[in-house]
Amino acid sequence: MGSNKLAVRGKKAKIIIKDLNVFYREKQVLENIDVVADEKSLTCIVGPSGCGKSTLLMAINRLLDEIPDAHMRGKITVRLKDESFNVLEIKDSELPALRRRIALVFQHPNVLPMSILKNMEFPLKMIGLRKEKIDTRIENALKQVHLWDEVKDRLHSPAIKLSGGQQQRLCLARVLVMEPEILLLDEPTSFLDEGLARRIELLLLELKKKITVVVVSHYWDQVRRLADRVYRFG
Amino acid sequence: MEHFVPQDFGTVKKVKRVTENAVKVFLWTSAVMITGAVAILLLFLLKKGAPGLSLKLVFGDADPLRALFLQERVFNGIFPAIVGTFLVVFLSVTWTIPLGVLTGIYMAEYGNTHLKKILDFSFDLLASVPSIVIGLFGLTLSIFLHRNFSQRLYPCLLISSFSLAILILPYIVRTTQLSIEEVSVSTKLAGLSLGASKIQNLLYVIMPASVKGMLSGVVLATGRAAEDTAVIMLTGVVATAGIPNSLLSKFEALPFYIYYISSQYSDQAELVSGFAAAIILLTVCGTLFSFAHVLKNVLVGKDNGF
Repeated sequence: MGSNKLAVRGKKAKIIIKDLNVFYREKQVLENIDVVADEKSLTCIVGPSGCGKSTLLMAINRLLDEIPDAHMRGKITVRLKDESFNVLEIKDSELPALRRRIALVFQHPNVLPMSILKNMEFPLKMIGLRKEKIDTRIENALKQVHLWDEVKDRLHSPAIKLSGGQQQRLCLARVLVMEPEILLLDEPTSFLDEGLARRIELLLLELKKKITVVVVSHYWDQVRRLADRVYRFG
Repeated sequence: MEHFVPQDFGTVKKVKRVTENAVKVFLWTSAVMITGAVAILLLFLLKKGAPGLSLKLVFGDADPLRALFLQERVFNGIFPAIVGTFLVVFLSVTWTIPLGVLTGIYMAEYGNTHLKKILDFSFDLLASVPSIVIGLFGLTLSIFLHRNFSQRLYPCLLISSFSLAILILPYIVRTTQLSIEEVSVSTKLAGLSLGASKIQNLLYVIMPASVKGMLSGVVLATGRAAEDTAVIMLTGVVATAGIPNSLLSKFEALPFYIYYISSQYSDQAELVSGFAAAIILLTVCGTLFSFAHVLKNVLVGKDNGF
């Protein structure tokens, strides 16, 4: 793995991955990975498909635990609310809270088989947030991803009926309502046209002023526009 | 990598198309044959049974309205058998659903490979047990209870519904398991990635997405429970009992009535009433199915896009 580091001076590391190895059954998909992502910065991971970029994202918030036959070894140190810990040592019961703070958006939009509104409410309902608070958060998130105007009149219709690009933005908005400290994005603009992709990129540039963003991408142009630091896999 | 290039592409294509069409015709014929068989069966039943359909068949000499509200006992009609069928099916499904659904969830989500294999085998075995054997089990059980616990315990509605529950349990377990396993990995991960715990994910994502399949299992089980004669024959059904007034009463049921009348009829009119009762049994099943359908719509809601 070669890494091309454009060091970001004066920023603390938010994620430090050291010697990470991931296996599916016997097959090793990630070998001795070292990655550092600083706070308030955007780190890009590039590489050919199938090289384990998505697996890496799933390792960071331990979603990989839910994949049968997947297991990992190594150390992923994360600093959340000024407290550092190894993600791999977190108890199962604390995983939901971890995943709310380290939010992941998949490459293929995976809307839940519910209405648009219920999709947006889902993460908030899981923590038992009150209805009034939920509504404003949802509206803001949908506005951030430039989806509000397209869906505001049909919030109760099934999310599955949205176009691919709309679903992708819905999935992004759905994690933004959780106000995560770390945002992991897998090809966030793959279903969007040029114009919308640019607007989402602007959103990401805005977001990285406040939180840590890790983006898997294979568009070099995009990487050049967004990244503070780039890792190349494969 | 070498690619296979057919020498004569046109011929291969043509052969492929002919085969494809042949398969299509074959599949279509099979589908039509099955639908046709069902249609013929229904027409036959209607032709034979329709003349026997009357309020008298259901309520006998009793006043229909008064009988319906249990004000008057029906002696020579099949009303008690209709009520008995509803009761026994309702009870057996009630016993089975919690147990079957929970087992199905366990099998799909939690069971480890070894235990799952054992359970898989057991349910296959249970599904293949002839219903008469389950009836015998129910009978033995009631004798055991009668001897050891209470002299008041005989084959009854409770024992029958319990035995039927065993009969339909594999259907509920299997369909629950399959419908949960069918929920895509990406949907399952979606819930978990949004901070749902495993239980929350099960309750709010996986179950709603699979409730449709589960209910089709309930429908299947309902039909199976409603039509079975062997089990109830040994465990509490009788030719005349009236409407049962407790779980420990004997009861009447439509399939038993049909079986009884068609094997012991003394004149043509009685045979016709057997066919008519079969139509009514179909209607009862239809009613139970529609109930399951309504329940599905209520549970699934209309906003999920499926």
